[in-house]
Parts: sequence; structure tokens; C-alpha cells
Amino acid sequence: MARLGSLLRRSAGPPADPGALLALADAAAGFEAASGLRPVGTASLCLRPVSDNRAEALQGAVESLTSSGERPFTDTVDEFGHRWLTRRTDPPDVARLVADLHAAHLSVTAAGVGAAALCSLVGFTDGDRQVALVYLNQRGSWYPFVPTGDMTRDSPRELELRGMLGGLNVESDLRRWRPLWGAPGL
Amino acid sequence: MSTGTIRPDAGLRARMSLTIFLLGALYVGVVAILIASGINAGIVIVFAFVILFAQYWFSDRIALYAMHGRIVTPQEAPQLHAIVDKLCAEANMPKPTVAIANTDIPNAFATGRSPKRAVVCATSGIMRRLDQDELEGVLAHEISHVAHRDVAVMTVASFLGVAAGLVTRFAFYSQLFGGGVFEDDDRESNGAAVAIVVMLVSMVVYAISFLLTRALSRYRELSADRSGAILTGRPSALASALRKVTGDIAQIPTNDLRSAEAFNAFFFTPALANGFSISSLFSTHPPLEQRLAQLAEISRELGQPV
Repeated sequence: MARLGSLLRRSAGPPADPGALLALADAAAGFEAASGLRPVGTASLCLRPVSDNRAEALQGAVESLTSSGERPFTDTVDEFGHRWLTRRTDPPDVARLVADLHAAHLSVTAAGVGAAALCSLVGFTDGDRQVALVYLNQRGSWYPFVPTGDMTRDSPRELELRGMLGGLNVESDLRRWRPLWGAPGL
Repeated sequence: MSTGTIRPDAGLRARMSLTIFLLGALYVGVVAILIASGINAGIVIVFAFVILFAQYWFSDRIALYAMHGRIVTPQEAPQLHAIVDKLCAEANMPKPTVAIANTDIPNAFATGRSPKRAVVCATSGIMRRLDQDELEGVLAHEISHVAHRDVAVMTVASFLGVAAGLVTRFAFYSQLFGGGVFEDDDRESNGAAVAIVVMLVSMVVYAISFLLTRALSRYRELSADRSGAILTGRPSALASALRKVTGDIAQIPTNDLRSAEAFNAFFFTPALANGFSISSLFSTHPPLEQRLAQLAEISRELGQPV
């Protein structure tokens, strides 16, 4: 019966182990100390477009997240037609940001559009360059992304940062470290 | 052999001569065995020659087709054209056709039977990953291949390998289909035995010529690194580019997670394409350490910090 249920739910797989996302709350301090980066206080969830019959469910989930009282997300649409739910904390609070990202992922999953959750970004900076830790929601893995221009990234630095992500499930397949040029969370 | 500032390379010439000599010696041996075996070798060799000649003659078109390269105008790719213009002016060579292959794999490729019919192709992936100086270093390496007429040389060098491969196959099929199973006379079983011997000999010949052409190819890569680095005067830019197109860094993609492009777009340049690419999964290229060491040495010769 459980199997039948999962077939009917059509949510294309359960979200990956939530622990993998929440682990950043504990890992952040070590990462900051090793890398010299500090959080900027932004995090975002990227939602890819869904089929027409699911669009309403997605819209409902987005609206509840952008209007819910104390910690609302802002909703932007990028040039790929993907929606970004962005959350800011001031002062920066990584633990709270990942908790909210997790809550947002749970909401879209509960609305039946969990498969739309493509990735989540948590922003860091070294003072003048932005660095994102990217979380692949479906795979439950993390990788660093260091954009240096419109379409350029600092991969040597990314490989260096990889070694500083102790406590996180780091994406081991480097071919999956795909960039998110100009993402609203950055 | 060389034009303008791309200097002749005495060592390269010596190795080329040696390789061609050794291949020639093998060739003589193979022909002798073929004649002794009574197989109509002439047809096979002529066929091999025609195929290889076609590969050589149409190398520019075949390579572009195999790489999915698209010829670009100076308006479409001003940066790439500007670099090629500059390098060709400095090397005093005709400008090759410039093409771009739309793939995220960082690579660059040169081919063509002569400097006048040459194509230089860069992938969109390498153009996104390298800065101006690094891209110039890579294109100087590719243009050096063109100036050294490496396509012609490697075509000649691999001719015997291809011929031996064809003979292997020919011997195999003639043994398989030619020999009657129900005829049990001496002539037939003799023919089968000879075919097997020819097949084995061809395989050995093929293996040896393969190793020789690989060795020659590795040497020509180092030679192109050297000529290219001297042409630009910046060996460190090529060294930095090589680090970026090999190993872990080359695997990190530049195509957006949100784009529809498949994530696993790894492709091999088919063996059909005669030409030279900057990075290769096969052993036609010397190890990165060896190439970097040579470039560091050139930096020292030029009095630059490594």
C-alpha cells in the first residue's frame, strides 16, 4: 500500500534527507573560520516551472510563503522562468535561514510540487566577492559556487572551499556543480 | 616546414624521420608477408590509402562535422577572431577558418591539410573558462600544429596502422567466409592457416605502429606547446590554461543549472577526425606535469617569473 501511495502522490520522489540541508546550521561556523567568508544573511529557494495542472498548487504554496506573518520570503522570477523565494535575516543568521529554507521546501512538497524545488542558495562574502553554497534539493548535496563575472567562475577557489565544508554532504560529482549565473540569491 | 616566428624544430624533425623510417621498415615487412601469403594485398592497401587520403584531404570538413563545429564570422566571435588575426600576423601565416563548437567541454582543436586549408575550432566551454591571455596561449598552440603541418605528418605516420588494421579484418573475413567448411582438402586448410598468421602479424604491426604514432603525437604536442609559448611570449598563460582544461577543474561545468542542456555532455572526438585537440582522454598527449615543466623552463629562458 505504501508503494501504491507513493505512486499516486506523483511528487517525484520525497525530499532528500532534511538533515543534509539543516547540517549547514552546525557546519557554518567551521566553514566561516576556515574560509574567512562570512554570511550575508540571504538564502533562496529556486523553483522550476511546473506543468499547467500543477501551476495553481505551486502558486498557492508560493503565496503562503510570501505572505506568512513573521518571516516572509520575497518572490522573483528570473530569465529562465524559474521562481526564487528569497529570505533575508539581519543580522545574518545561517541557522535560521536554513530552517526557513527547510520549511519552504516542506511547504512546496506538501502542496504536491516538491519536485519543483531545484536548489537552495545560502550567500556568503569575503567583503567584495559573493560566494554561494548551493544545495541540490533532490540530491541532498552541497557545492560552492564562486561567480567572478557574467558567465565566469573561480573553480580553483571552489575546489579549495570544497575542503572546508566539513560536516556537509558535498556533491562528489563535479559535473553537477552547475553554475547559477546571476541568481537572485546572490 | 615552418613559417615566420614558428621556428623549425630540429629534434622534432629527427624524431619524425625516425618514426617514418621505422614505419617504413614495418611496411616492407608486411608487404613481404602479404605477397608470400598470396592475399591480394594491393587492393587492400590501395583501399586503405584512398580512405586515409580522403581523411587527410577533407580533414577540415570531417573535423568540423565530428566536433559539431560552426564556422563563425568576425562579427559573431570578435574576440576569437582578434586573437587568431594577431597570432597569424605574428607567425606570418594565412588565417585559418575559425569555428566554435557549442559544448561545455573545454577543448580546442586544429586540423586541415595545409595552413591554407586549416581550421581552428574552440568550444564555447573553453571560451567561458579561460581569460584572454590563456585563450591566446591555447590558440597559439593550435596554430603551431597548423604551421608544423602536423595533420599531414600524422596522416602519413598512421597510414601503416590503418592498412594493418584493414588487412587484419580482411584476413579474418576471408578466413571466415572463404574457407569451405565441408571441403577438406589441403589447399583450403593451408589457406586458413596462412590467414591466421597474417592476422596475427597484422595485429602486431598495428600495435607497434600505434605505439610509434602515439609517441610521435606526444612529442608534437610538446613541440606545439613550445612554439605557441614562444609565439605569444607568455608560457605561463598556456600553463594556466592547461591546468584549467585538465583534471578536476575541467569537470566543473559552466552551463547553468536552470538551462535545459544535459548535465553529462561528455563527448569524444571520433577517431575519424584527423586533427589536434588541446586536451585528450587518450595518451596522445603527454602528461600535464611534463607540459607544465617545459613551459616553466621556457619562462626561465625568456627571463620571466615562473
